[in-house]
Amino acid sequence: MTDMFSAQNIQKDKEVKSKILQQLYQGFQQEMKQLEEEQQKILLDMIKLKKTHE
Amino acid sequence: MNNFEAKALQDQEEQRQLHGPQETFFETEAQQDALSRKSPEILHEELKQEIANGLGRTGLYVESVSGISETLLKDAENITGSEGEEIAQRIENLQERSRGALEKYRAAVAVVMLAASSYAQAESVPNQSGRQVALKPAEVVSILPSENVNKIDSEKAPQSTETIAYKEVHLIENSHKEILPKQNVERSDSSTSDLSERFSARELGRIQHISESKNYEHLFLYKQGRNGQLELVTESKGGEDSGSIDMEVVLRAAKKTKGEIYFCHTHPVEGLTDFGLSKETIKKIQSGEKFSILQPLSVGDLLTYSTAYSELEKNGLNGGRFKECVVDGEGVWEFSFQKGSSISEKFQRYNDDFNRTFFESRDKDSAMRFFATVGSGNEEALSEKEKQEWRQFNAQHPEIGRSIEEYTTIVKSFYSEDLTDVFPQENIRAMEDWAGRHGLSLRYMPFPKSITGHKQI
Repeated sequence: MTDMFSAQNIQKDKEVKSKILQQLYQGFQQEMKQLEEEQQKILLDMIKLKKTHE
Repeated sequence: MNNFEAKALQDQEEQRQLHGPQETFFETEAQQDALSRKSPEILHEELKQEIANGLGRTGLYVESVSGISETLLKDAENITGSEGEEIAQRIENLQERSRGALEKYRAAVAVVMLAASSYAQAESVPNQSGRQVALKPAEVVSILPSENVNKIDSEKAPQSTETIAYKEVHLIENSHKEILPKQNVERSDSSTSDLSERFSARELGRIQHISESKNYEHLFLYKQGRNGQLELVTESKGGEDSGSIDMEVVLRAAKKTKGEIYFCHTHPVEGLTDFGLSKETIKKIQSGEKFSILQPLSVGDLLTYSTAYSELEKNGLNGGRFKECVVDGEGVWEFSFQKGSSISEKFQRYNDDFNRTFFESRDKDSAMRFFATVGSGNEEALSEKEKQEWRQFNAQHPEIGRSIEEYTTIVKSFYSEDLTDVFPQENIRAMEDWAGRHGLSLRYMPFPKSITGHKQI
């Protein structure tokens, strides 16, 4: 029922949605990067442990 | 002014003298602005694409992190003792957090989809009434996983995705409390006993079985007997996608009881465009079938209900005694107009106009096809001319049109590619909240586990 909204609102609506989606993705990316770094640390710790056990 | 600028001005003046003032098609800046914008359809498609890209990318991201974690976990099995256990625990925590990040991202996308149109309005209309319009989709909160909402005030809430999602949720949650207090909303919590009160155990088992095993619409008409339980008046075995029960039979049944009249029906699984609740349907979705829309009630149901309501009233019978129920494999959706609500008259007008506009000008088959198409929310299947007609019709009934539009938006937001549970409690509550705010009473009553757990298919 787009007739009920002005074209201006639809445009604005889309812009706001796109902007928030972008921010959400960036936030998600940051969070995943932290997890990847932690994964790296775990890997390094595992290598160290294996060497110690050897 | 340097030579170049002087030459440019001179050229411009010569051109002006040669061709006169530049004619413009657009008379005002606003018109130019309007025409330079993309059409709503293109904007909608772009947004859909952005959402799909985001969901796709985040899904792959988590999959990749998860794959590496799995490998690490296998490796960790070779490390003996408490050190190995500690490493395994760290990996599992990491897995959990990456899944959590994805969940929160998806929840936040749901918020954006439903709520952001309102932000646009909220910015332009910052007063209280503007905010009320702006924050209309309060049921966004209901469709979010409850654990996320509960974590809003948690001190542990980290930055980035979570923070953004929590901010949005918090904003809507608070507005919901301030502006849209719970009103006349009947809850379906622990409503299993309600079904048991209405139907005998045998009848419940029968309708549950039929709803899951039939590929066509099956109709049941019940009247309330002296002991309060519902007695079967008639049933139509149909055999096609859409069946019907004669209105005269409904009226006769209503005259024979002072209690309630229940018109229950299943939705065909095979011809599914409007209903996606049964386990069979979920299995189909899981096997990769796509559905255009999933909704527990269709516009057609609302129209059918208001027709029966109206007929009862015209015959001096209380339309409020009439209930329409949709039966699926898991339970029964019961809906009716709320007592004393003004929606009944509006729906009756909507319904009368619908008949006048779309039935009187068409032959029966064509009218039924149109009814089935718009009734199931499958507007894409209409011709351009019909789409136009349907939009015009809804624009003439703005309140009902908006109500249906909001309903469709909510239900569409439940749909996702990796759908495994179409109607968790949050979604059911969102549906009931919607109905409550629009003068309709809607309740979802699940079948007792003793039935669903022992059914024969």
